[in-house]
This record gives sequence, C-alpha cells and structure tokens, in this order.
Amino acid sequence: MAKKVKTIEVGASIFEENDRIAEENRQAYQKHKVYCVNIMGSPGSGKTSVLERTVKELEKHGYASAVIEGDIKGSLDGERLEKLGIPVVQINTGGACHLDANMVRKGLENLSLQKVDILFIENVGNLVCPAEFKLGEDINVIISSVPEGEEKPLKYPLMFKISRICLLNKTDLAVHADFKSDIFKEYLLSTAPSAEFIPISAKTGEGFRLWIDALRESLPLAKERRTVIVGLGDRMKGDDGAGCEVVQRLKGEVENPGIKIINAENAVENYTGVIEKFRPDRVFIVDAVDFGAGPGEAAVLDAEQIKETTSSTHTFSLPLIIEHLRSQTGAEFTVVGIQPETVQFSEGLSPAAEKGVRRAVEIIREKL
Amino acid sequence: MHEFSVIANLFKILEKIKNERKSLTAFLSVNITVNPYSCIDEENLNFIFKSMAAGRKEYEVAKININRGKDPAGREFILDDVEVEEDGEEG
Repeated sequence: MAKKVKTIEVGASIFEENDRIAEENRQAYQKHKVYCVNIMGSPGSGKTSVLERTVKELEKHGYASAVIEGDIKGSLDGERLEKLGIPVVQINTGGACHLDANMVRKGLENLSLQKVDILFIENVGNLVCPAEFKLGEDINVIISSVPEGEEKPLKYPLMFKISRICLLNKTDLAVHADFKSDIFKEYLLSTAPSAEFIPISAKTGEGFRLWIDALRESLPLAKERRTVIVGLGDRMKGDDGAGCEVVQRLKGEVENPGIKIINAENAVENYTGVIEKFRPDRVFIVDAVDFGAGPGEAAVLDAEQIKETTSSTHTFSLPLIIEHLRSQTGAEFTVVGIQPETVQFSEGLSPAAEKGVRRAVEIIREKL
Repeated sequence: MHEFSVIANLFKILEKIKNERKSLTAFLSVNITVNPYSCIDEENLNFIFKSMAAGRKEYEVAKININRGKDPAGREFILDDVEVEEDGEEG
C-alpha cells in the first residue's frame, strides 16, 4: 500500500490538562474569595522564612493565611509553618521538580478555604520548572536572595518575567557577600521591566512593610471588606458635631484592623490621602445634614439627598469629595445623615441630636 | 525534570491523534512553540521522547522541533502541528 505524508494542524496546548485544572483551582479560590500567591525561588532563598514573617504581618492586618507546601520529600517547612497556627497542606512531589495544577487540586481537597483570605503556595525550590506550570494563582512572586548573586534574573529569565513581584531576601548579608543591589535591580528590570522589586530581610524584617503593602494592594477579593467610617462636623456649632460624636462612640467599640475610623471634623479634604491609602471597599460618612426630617432623625441618604445637602459649616462640597474618593478607591459610599436641631455657635448636642447619634450608631453597626 | 511532564502530556495528544486516524502509521515530526525563555532544550526533549516512546513503532522516526515564541511573558506550550505518514488509497 502506498504511503502518503500529511501535515495535521493541531494548535493544542501541551499543558491543556494542567491549564484546565489550574482554571478549576482558580475558580475554587474565587468562589471562596481567596487570593492565591505562588511563591517560587531557589532552594535556600528563604521562602519559608519569608512566609513565616509574612503570615504574622498579615495577621496583624486581619488577614487569615493558609499554605500549600511543596517539597520533593519531607515536611520540615510545613511543620515550621504549622507552628503559626494556620492551615498547612504538605505536598511531596516524589521527585518532580515543580508543583503542577493537579497536585495543588489534591492539596485543596485537604484544605478548608472558608476562613482563608490568602493562600500561599510554596513551590518546590527551583528556578526553572515551576515557571512553566500554571497552578491557578493570582500572582507569582519570585524570592531571590543575596547569597545567590546578582545575575539570577539574567540566567533564569522566564522565572523573573512571569513574576509580578521580586523579593530580594537576606539583605542583611549584602555587606558580607559584597552584593550589589543596584546591579541586581538593573538585571531584574532589564529582564522583567514591570516587576516590582522589594529588598527584604526575613531575619530583620527590613522591607516587610513594603512587601505587605504591595500584597495588600493586590487583595481585591479579601473576605473582610475594608471599611472607613468618617465623622464630619464642627463641635463648636451645636448639633453640627453629631457626626464626630458618632465616630467617637464607634471608636470605643470597634476593634478591627479592617475598619478605620476617622474624625475628620470639618476638614475631610485633609484625610483623603489617608482614606485612599487604606484602600477601602466601602466608606461610611456621618454628618449633620438638613435633609428635611424632624430634628434628631437619622437615615441613610440617597444620591439626590446628598446633592441637596445644605448643612452646615463645611467649606467643601460633600458630593465632590465622595466623587473624588470613589474614583480613587472604587469604594461604595454610604452617607448617614442626622437632622440637626441647631447649628448655632454652642458646645454640646441637643437632646434631639443625641437621639440621632444613637440611631446613626445603630445604622452603621447593622451595616458593618 | 519537567521534560518528562512535557513529553507525558505531549503523548496524550499524539495518542489521541493516532486513535482518530486509523491509517496513521508513523509520526515524522512534532512541531511545538514554547516561550522564548523556556528552559526546554530541543536535544534533551528528543532524548526523553525517544526514551519514553521506546517500543512504540509509530514514534520511532519522530523528531520534535521547537519554535521559540515571541511572547516573553507567556507560558504557552503549544503543539502547532505534526507531520505524519499514512497508508494511502490503493490504485
């Protein structure tokens, strides 16, 4: 029988199966509003030490972490992380030099994501293979370290190119290793121009504020909604100080790192930077506002009512401030208004405004 | 090490093609595109391919050709096309 030669177009991903499972993993993270960080780096770069400090720092900000720990053999790193009291799942690859999506999927079967905000996957120590396999992660982070030398970004470009953040660990050793951080940075940025470079030391804590801030800025899906409550008004003008009184009372009872309470008085424009930096998902503004109700009534105001607010002593335009902050943060805004009885020059609130303050506190409590 | 994963996944696709084409007698070339910075090496990949294909006559003469893609940030590993030998029509 005659033979013939044919070319068959395929166009299929060789890692189709891996990519399909990675997508399923990603959907599982999204379903539980978990942000997934794939940590990669060479053996000894300090991945586990960085994670130990990172988990503790994030906890201070109210974020709960979990770790999927990948190693060829053994569970030493996993045991270290378990001591932090967080969920840890150990995966032994049994010789494979990387984690793949299916391994992570199996790990997820043993991990409850219900109370987790951030899932770290500590990949197998290796600067080559882990870069090729998607796991469903939101971001890749490469940890390089001073003793490895300055040239790693040039030698392992793919690993650095696919990583949004590059942590340079063990900066405390730079002086002993004659390490040139600026050269490392130059090599990194020539390889991966959009990478964020953060020098850190897991031993001393140097650079961790930047690293944690960078991580927090990447957390759009964190379970806990970040909330700012702003009180407005002038305490020297009678009931105009009602908004300030509300936040004073809430300050005494809310202890949550995900909630920032600001008594802005009549200068909220001075706090816009603070609010933007906190990256809130929602903002409550409490203010004494003439919205046509009876003295001491408190209510959530709609957009039209906000536009028509005529209160008080503020020199700024509340709708403009809201519009500015909304455009900067993407947060949702709720304005709680308290109808004043008097905004004449005087100290203290009227009995009606006192009642309005109590009601406004209740409204905010219910919504938190 | 991850060349084994690459080849194992590649075989899954090639076996599917083979099963769909009963007249296929041999794979001649397997053309793939990888990231320009992928650490995959053509010679190494072919060595592992031959090792893993040992005893399977459809793969005896097959050679993998690697084309380096243009997207340095991509992680694509694409099997573009295969050249195969098939039994032709008689007469």
